[in-house]
Amino acid sequence: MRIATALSAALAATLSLGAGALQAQTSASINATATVLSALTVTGASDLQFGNVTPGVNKTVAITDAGAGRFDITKAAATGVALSFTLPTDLNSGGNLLPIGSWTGGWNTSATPAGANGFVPGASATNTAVTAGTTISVYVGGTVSPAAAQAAGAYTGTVTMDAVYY
Amino acid sequence: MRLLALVSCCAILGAAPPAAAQISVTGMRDLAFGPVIVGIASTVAPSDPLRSGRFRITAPAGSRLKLDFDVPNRLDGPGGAKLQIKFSNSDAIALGNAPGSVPVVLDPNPKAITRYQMGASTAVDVFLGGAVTPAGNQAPGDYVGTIILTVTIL
Repeated sequence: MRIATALSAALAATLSLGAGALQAQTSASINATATVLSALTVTGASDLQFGNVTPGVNKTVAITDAGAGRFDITKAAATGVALSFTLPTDLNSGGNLLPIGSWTGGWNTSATPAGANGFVPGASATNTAVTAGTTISVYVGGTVSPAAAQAAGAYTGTVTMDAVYY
Repeated sequence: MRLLALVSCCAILGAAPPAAAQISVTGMRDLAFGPVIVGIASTVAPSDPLRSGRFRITAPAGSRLKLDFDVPNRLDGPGGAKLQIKFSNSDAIALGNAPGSVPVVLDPNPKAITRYQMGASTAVDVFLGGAVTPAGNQAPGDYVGTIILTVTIL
């Protein structure tokens, strides 16, 4: 009887140890990572200037022309940016409208339109390449189509470019 | 005879495999915020299929688990720079592998009491989101911190 009691106690202890061992524990780790980029800045550097235009005669400014518009971007190295534009359909002079019918664009990592990567500006984003440098110049050209009876005057419109990292 | 039966019973209990071998946890994917911009907060949801962190736990079906997250409040960057990181009380989701398993929202913050019932599942993925808040003068560069998940079978 005494032996049986002792063994019962031993069994109870064993069961208790067994229950404790079930509280198994293990660990693993992962990293949290982020890459902080410097803020993008966009500067309107040059207006798109058609100069004098003749009623009834279309006039085009190419991105390589002196009158081309230019935006300058500063960005983080080794990044690409997506360019999108809000473009006017007309230039305005006191309520008179001068249609601006087509647009051309080009981006370059150097401050020259020569050899720029061409694209068509618009609301849909255009991705530049991922470039090592921290500057991009964007050139904008277009074509205005004055009517034969186009009212004389100085016409203006606003071209807005958005740039975001992609 | 009764004595022999008791001894046999003790022997069987003693031969049981260590319970530690029954569970495992593995870091499967980093919580990756990717490029973030100075002055602009960036959030990764735990449901993000690419950027959320991910652990995989295996344990016997029916296990009750205690999950302890050790999460940083700063990521370490270049030249000793720090990037603030925060976790909301719903930034972790656990999803078992059994058919019909329902995602369970968990609080990954260290003081949270986090339990998970395996049910019919034998593995569970724990997805982790978070938010970083780069300061306006945050130093550009790569930042990293360590997240540890400790799992205990209760």
